[in-house]
This record gives sequence, structure tokens and C-alpha cells, in this order.
Amino acid sequence: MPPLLRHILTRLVALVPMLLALSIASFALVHVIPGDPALVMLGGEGTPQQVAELRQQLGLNRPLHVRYWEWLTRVVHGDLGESLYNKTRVTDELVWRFPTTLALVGLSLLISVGIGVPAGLISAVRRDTWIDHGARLLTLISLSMPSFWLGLMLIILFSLKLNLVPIVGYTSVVNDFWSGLRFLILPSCALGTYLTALLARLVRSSVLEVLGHEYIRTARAKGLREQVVLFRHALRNALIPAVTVLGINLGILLGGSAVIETLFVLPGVGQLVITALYNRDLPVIQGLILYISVLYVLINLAVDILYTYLDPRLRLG
Amino acid sequence: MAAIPVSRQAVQVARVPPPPGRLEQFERVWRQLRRNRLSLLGSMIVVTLVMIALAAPFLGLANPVKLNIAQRFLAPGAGHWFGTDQLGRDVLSRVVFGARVSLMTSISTMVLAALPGVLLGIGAGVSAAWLSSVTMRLMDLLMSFPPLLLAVAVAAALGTGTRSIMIALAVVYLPRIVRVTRGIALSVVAQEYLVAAQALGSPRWRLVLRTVLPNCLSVVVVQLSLYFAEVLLAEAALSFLGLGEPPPTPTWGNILQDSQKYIRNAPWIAVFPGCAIALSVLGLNLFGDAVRDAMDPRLRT
Repeated sequence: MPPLLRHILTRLVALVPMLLALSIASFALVHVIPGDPALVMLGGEGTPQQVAELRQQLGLNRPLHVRYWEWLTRVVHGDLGESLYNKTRVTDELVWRFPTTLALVGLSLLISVGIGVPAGLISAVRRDTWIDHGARLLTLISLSMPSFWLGLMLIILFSLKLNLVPIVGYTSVVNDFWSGLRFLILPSCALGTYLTALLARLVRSSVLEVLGHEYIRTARAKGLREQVVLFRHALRNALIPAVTVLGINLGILLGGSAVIETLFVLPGVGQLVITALYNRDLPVIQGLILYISVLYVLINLAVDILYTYLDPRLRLG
Repeated sequence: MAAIPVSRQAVQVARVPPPPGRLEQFERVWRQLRRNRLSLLGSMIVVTLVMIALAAPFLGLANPVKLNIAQRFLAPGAGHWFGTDQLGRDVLSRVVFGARVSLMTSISTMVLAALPGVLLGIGAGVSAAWLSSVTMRLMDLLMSFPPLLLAVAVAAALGTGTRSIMIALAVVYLPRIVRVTRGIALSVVAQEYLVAAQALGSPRWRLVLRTVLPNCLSVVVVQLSLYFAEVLLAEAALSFLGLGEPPPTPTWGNILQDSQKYIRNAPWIAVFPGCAIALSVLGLNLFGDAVRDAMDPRLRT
């Protein structure tokens, strides 16, 4: 069996206990918390009869392992539960909200890579010039700002003062892609700035490290053009750590999207999590947490495989 | 899961400075630090902010929760440097008193996460393979939730308030601290002087307490200062979402939450608390980065 294939299979097998553990953890969130979940959901104010009804509805009167098994069976069949608040099915909500979150995270990612990688490269090549110092200062500042505050500042500047970008009247990217995208520009900038700075910083230091290697000197000694040395030899090797950091930080984007969607009133998955939290809608939170963390684990697996593919040394090891 | 720590700092701390002669090392680090003005600037920012927060009641500021409807929405000026908010409260005073809650919550979170985190991490670094493995798989599980969502989940289970924010963020940062500390402990354990001490017959607990722990701590503390910066940002985000201290008590996050409704006419309510957050995070980052670079010249960028 080719090593890469074996590596992928090993990772897939290792995924099974991980997914089981995630499902147990998400289940435990609702059912093992201190106090009666029914009382918690009612905000501690229900009449005894209401509490009894909710207990019945949630199936709280049956043993824990039976409930877990039933829940897991339903989840595997694509039923993530039902909102206590307005009776909608979590799966239905996900289907229409997911494109917005995907577009938001995708656009942020695009901004981060599109700006962060070139900035890091230029910073490294022009080391210790004013360009480098300026870029590093900007990086430091970007890493220090809360994304939602940056979002507020962007709204004040670009929507209220300059009137360039609309903030109310979002139509889903599914219905009208380009119109929806216009509403996502500011949120994506706010969400992507942190990752952009992180990437710029990482690419800078790893390009500098790679440039110190002997094979770069060899490439230059061969008489290769500087551009070829930079792009084909230096940047390509320097990007390997960037891919890992990108994969891991997708979690930050996913989590951050909750705050940004709430601020910009975008109907995404993250906003649903926060709304459910305000309503103490535990079944919805449970379903979403499971869904998003499984997604996160799968993304990390994909990144890991990509990483092995990019770096042949890992395949042999 | 890729066996690589989550944050940008963690990626770079896997190695440890050459340890013995701690006094010597301390002197070297100190020399490096003095040369680095950025770290000085960073620590000055942090110390100043903490002192202002501590001294808040004695600075002669307006009462941060006292309403004064006649003076609402005053733009920044001589009487109110940062302006006033929708209820006529002084924004400067709310930002300063907000620092007390925000910094206190973040510091408590760090203590709550770091004490068990460092102990578990060193434990996992020196204990039997199976025990270490069990601990780390548990930490992997905690780390497989996106950070902010895990915090939200914990807050959902515990209800809102400063206490649940602290517990939620401690749960998020515990596995990260354990992982980094274990990595550092492992590399300390592999050092020759430790093998030598073991060969001389020092009891295990003594090696751990007197050699492994102190050699890990210096590196761990730097890492913690960088995590502290992240916790500060996360605390602000959670309290911005309304999960933290309820009004009227000001926190940086909940002032920003309030300010949203008035950004059209009174943008200053939103501007200043954010500057306070950014400034303190910047200070911690400058300090942490500089100390890390000073401790390990190989990592300097």
C-alpha cells in the first residue's frame, strides 16, 4: 500500500473514537449539567406541571444510555433535534443558514491568504527596510484588536460616514450572490484581519528561515533568476507551516463568525448559536455544537492530509 | 488531529533554552530584554493599565454608574474627555472601571487554567506513557471544539455571569496550556543533566520539583503572557455577546455591546473601550514576544 494512502486510512480509523467522544461530550452538555435540564431551559421559573411536561418531551425520565443511543441514532440519520423556542428543526435551519456562514468564512480566508502571504513574503525579502517595519507594526496592531470592535469601526467609517457599503437589507448569497456578497465585505474584513496578520507574520519568519538554507544558495549559484528562487524554492517550502496554521485557525474563524454575524445581523449558523444561547434553547445548542465541531475535526483531517502531501518528508517518517 | 499546538505562539515554543546555570541564564535574558525597547514599552503599557485599574476609585473620576439624563450623548471635550453615553454616564470613567472587571476576569481565568494546566502538563511529561497518553487524548478532545464555541457551550450550561465566563475560558485554555507545558517538560527531561541526576540516584519527585519544574516555568510564563492576551480578547467577545457581568456594572465588552445602538450619533462610546482592549493586548503581545525572543535567540525573527 502506498504510504500516503496508508496514512489517510490510519487517520480515518482514528477519527471514529474521536467522533464518538465528540458526540458524548455534546450530549453531556445538556444531560449531565448540574441541576434539572428542564428547569434550566425554563429559566428556573416554570410551574411544576411545565417542568414535568418538558421532562417528558425531552425524555428525561428514561436512563441516560438509552437516551444517548436514541439521540445518536437520530443524529446519524440527519436529525439534529428541534428548537424548544419555535419548534423549527435544527437541520432545516442549518441548510438555509450555512451558505451565509460559508461565504463569510470563505471570503475572510481569501482576504487572509490574498493579503497575508504576499505581505509576509515582501516583509521577508525587504527585511529591515521601512516596508518591513511598517508591515510588522501593522501586524502587531491587527493582532491586538478585537474583531467585533474592528467591525464596529468599519461600520462607522464605511457605512455611516462614507456611505460606501450597505449594512441593512442583507439577502442570502443563495438568492442573489453578488448583492449578498456586498454585505459580506465589511464582516469578512473584520473577521479576516486577525488571520491575515497571523499569516503575514508566519510567512515572514518561515521565508527568512528557508532563505538561510543551503539549497537556496545552490539555486542562486546555479544562476536561477531571483524570482524563480523566491517563488519556486523559498515560498513553496515556507508555505508548509502556513497551511497547518490556517487549518487550525479555521476554528477561530468559525467561532469568530458567531460574534461577527451577531454584530452585522447576518443570518448565519453562528448567529443561530448565539440566539439559541439567549433563549436557553439547549437542544439547538447541542445540535449545532456537535455539527460545527465535527466539521472542524474533518477540516483538520483534510489539512493534515494536505500537509503530508505537501511535505514528502512526512510521508516516509 | 495534527499534533501541533493551536496558536501562533505555541508553534514556536516547542524548544527550550539550554537550561543549567539558571542565574547565568537569567542575566543573559535580562541583558537581551534591556536592549529590546519594545518589551520595555509592552511591560510599561501593561503595568500602567493595571495600576490605573487598581487606583480607579482614587482618581477622582465621575461615578461610572450614575445616571445624568441632562448630559447624555455629550461629545468628547473638556468636561468629559471620552464623552458621555446614552444615560449621561462618563465614558472615560466607565472604561477605567470596566478595566477592573475585564482585567480581573482575565487574570482569574488565567490562574484557573494555568494552575491545573501546568501541573497536568508537567505530570504528563514525566509520568508513565499510558497515563500521559490518556491525559493528552482528553486534552485533544477538548481542543477539537472551536474555542469560542466551547466557551459558549459552557456558558449555556452554567448560565451567564463573570463566573461562567471564567470557567468557560479556563476550559478552553486548559488543554492548550497542558500541551505546551508537556512539550517543554519533555524536552527538559531529555536534557543530559537530568539523565545524570537520575543516574546519581536522586529520587524522582525531587527531580521533578527541583529540576523539571523550575526549568519549565520560565518558558511557560512567557507562553502564559501571550495566552493572557488571547483571553483578554475572548473575554471581551463573550461579554460583548452579553454573557458576562450584566449592566450597569461596566466591562469593556458590555460597554461595546451597549454602544452598538448609538454608533450613528455617538461613535465615541464605541471607540474608546476598543482602544483600551487593543492597547492592553498590544502591551501583552509586545512583552511576551520580546521575552520569548530574548530567552531563545534561535527563535528570533
